[in-house]
Amino acid sequence: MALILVKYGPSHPVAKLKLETAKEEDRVLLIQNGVYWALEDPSKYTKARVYATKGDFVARGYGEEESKVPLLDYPEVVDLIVENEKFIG
Amino acid sequence: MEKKVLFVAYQSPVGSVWPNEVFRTAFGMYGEDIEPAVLFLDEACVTVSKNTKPELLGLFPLTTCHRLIKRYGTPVYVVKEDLERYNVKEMEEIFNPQILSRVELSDFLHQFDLVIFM
Repeated sequence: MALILVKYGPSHPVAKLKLETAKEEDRVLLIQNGVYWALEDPSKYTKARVYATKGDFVARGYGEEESKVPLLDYPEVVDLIVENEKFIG
Repeated sequence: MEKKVLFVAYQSPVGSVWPNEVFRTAFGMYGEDIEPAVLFLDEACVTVSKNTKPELLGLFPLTTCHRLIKRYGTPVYVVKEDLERYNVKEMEEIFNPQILSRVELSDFLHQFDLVIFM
């Protein structure tokens, strides 16, 4: 199980590749401009479970209800990082 | 148990320093008993081409890595579809790149403890 960190939006080739190569048991964390992916249903672009950082999402002018994925605050982000042994970032 | 770390470059070796930095970082791992590997994606795949010479534009050459790659035998990987897309015909033997196909990427990335895109 790996934690996959995505910090670029849908127009970036590497962000797309990370999401495509994610496995079902992985966890994806959208940070920085990666939160733009949260506007779309994640099943369209990855098999893994997807989360986004709340601060980055709200700072970009969105309401929390606009996110299609769970929004995490920083303590929850830390938990997610600690839970996963492997890392792709 | 030794940690397996993969460094990934995806930007061009001409005009960006990242392919060179990926090698420099990988070479630093040997002092930490960490087994590094290098993967070149997208535009970075031309790094392994025999004809790629950033120094023609006065930029940092790739040849500085050759000596250490030979000494450490750092595994270098590239993706077949990228080589075709960027028309890389002749590869520099010193890199001795192992060629993956795009569909193998998911399993390949998951073989490592740490994958760092640079």
